[in-house]
Amino acid sequence: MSDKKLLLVDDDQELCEELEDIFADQGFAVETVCNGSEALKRLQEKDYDILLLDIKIPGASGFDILQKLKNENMHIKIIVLTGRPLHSEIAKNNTTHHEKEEELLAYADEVVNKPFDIDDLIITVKSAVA
Amino acid sequence: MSIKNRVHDEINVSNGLELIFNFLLEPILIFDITDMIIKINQAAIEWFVFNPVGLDKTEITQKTYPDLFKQALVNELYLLLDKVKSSGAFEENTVVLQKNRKKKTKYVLYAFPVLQNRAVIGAIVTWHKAEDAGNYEKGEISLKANHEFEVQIKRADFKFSEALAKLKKKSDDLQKSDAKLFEQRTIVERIFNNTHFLIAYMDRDYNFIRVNNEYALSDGRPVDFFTGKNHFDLYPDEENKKIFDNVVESGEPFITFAKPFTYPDRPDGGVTYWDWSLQPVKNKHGNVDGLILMLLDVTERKKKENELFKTKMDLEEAKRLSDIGTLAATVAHELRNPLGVIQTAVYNIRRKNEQEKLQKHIVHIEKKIAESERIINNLLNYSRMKKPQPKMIHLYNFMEECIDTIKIQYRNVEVKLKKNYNVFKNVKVNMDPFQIREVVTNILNNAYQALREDGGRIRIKGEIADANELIIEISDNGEGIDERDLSQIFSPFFTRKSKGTGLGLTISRELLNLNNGSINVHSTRGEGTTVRITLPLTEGGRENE
Repeated sequence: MSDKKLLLVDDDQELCEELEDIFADQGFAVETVCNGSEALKRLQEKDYDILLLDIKIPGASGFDILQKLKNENMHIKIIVLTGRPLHSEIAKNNTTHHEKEEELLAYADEVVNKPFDIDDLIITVKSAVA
Repeated sequence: MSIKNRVHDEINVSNGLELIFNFLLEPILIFDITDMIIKINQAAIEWFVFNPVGLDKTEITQKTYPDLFKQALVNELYLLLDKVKSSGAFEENTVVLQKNRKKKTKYVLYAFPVLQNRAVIGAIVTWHKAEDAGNYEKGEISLKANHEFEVQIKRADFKFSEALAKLKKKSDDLQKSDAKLFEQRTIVERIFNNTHFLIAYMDRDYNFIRVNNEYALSDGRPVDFFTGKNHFDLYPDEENKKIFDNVVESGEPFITFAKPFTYPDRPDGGVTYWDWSLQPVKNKHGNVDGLILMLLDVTERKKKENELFKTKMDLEEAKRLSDIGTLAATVAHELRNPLGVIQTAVYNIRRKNEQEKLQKHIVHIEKKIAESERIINNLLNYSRMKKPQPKMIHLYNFMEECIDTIKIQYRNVEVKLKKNYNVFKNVKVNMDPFQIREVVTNILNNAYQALREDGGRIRIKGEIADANELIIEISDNGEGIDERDLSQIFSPFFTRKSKGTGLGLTISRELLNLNNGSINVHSTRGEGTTVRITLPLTEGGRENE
């Protein structure tokens, strides 16, 4: 049985390395990318089983990537990592959060808030590709 | 100047005289020295109309009398005029006219010389039927040195004085309206040239007719430069031309504020801003035959407005940032990211660690990460301080909910909980339930945390005071607060707890303030603490269910 392919998109280099370590240990073939435009390219070039996607990234935004995946109806599990808690007061004050973004987030399979519980994240990822 | 004109000028010296001339019943002809009739009055015209000649006024003047008269009158008149010219004095003559076969009428002709510097330059002729002779006396006509034309008639004629009265009134009115006109014109002129508005008057083809000083000054050219020139030759602008065209076509004025404009000959001069209006001027047929353009340079004002707006934005931004709540939230939020990574890294260390002695350190790190999380959460809670969203709340049920929640949280703690707020039954309060719940929960938490090992007791009491205030009192018999600390308990980050953030009471007090309430703490070290919360019963009040 081949390893499940996981693409991790996050601008925090250290976090990428740490999570890569964790998920490699869990039996995933992990690739990490720190930039949205680069991420779009990779998704075009290769097939992945699961995508761990941070929203706030340079280049194409997390929402752009979600839009692309939605438009092309790509066969990939999507787990969104966001530092912006959806239902907190901050989110309500932050007016850049508009409806279209809600729709795109709804397209993802899971939305996980940062900071996340690592064990929970592992469980979420594994059950997504199960 | 021709002789005819001279006579004309001398005699037609004012409109008033014109009136007399035409009001008189006596026919008058005024001749120049070449025997041309240069003036004829209404009475004379009528005479000619009703008498065989039958000509109208325009035909009569400019004709010499031989052309005009085809009867005996002619010769007599000729002779009379000659006499006057040579004598330079009043002359008279009689003539018999035959109107038709039956009737012969005798007329008396009079001629008065018109003199200038004692030379005859013309003659005034009048006539009447001989039988009317008694009504007239000889008059004298002379031209005075200052060209005043005076007619002296010794016996006042009723009709003449009536005419004179009318003349005087007309003259007065004329003088008044002249004065008024002069005054108005002076005012208008003054306005036109002293206003800070730029004004240009143009014809409907946009050629300047006149501009005011301000307009010329603003353009750096003399006032007379503009007359005759075309506005769009000087300031070509397609958009503006369309606007002008529209005003001419529709007859509707155009007005705009702070419209940007760049001088075509100074494109580097930067953009300027103008308030301007274009008013159509209509003739009596309602067609636009002119335009009034008024301009006000508001470049400075616009620049200042922009600066002001920017300052306002900066100020608002600064205010937003200076708001501690926002600052705290921003910092807290930012901290979460690196903290998350640290947490993940530690997880990995733990996983890969084979050395027993490192285990302790890893545990410490994990604990402190959790603590940092709590601090951050509390800071973020601080930013939750917003305008209260009040709702009508059943106070008793509200209290029950708060207490039930805290009981679950501390289910493993042995405590005697005493509830005494039955007065809250049937009481509805208008308050923000989330904010007040946070306050009550926070105080209950403090109470639980203060309790000592056993025999711990918490009492929750409710009071209604003066029908407009509700009081919640929470007392515990815990360790109490040191007297020296009491003044600091509401300060941010002040806490004696090992695991406290020191924000609970700070936030609670702030939330109560926002809801027009207050908080009070009494405590004795070693005995216990009592916290009293007060809230207004505004629109709620007591209601019987």
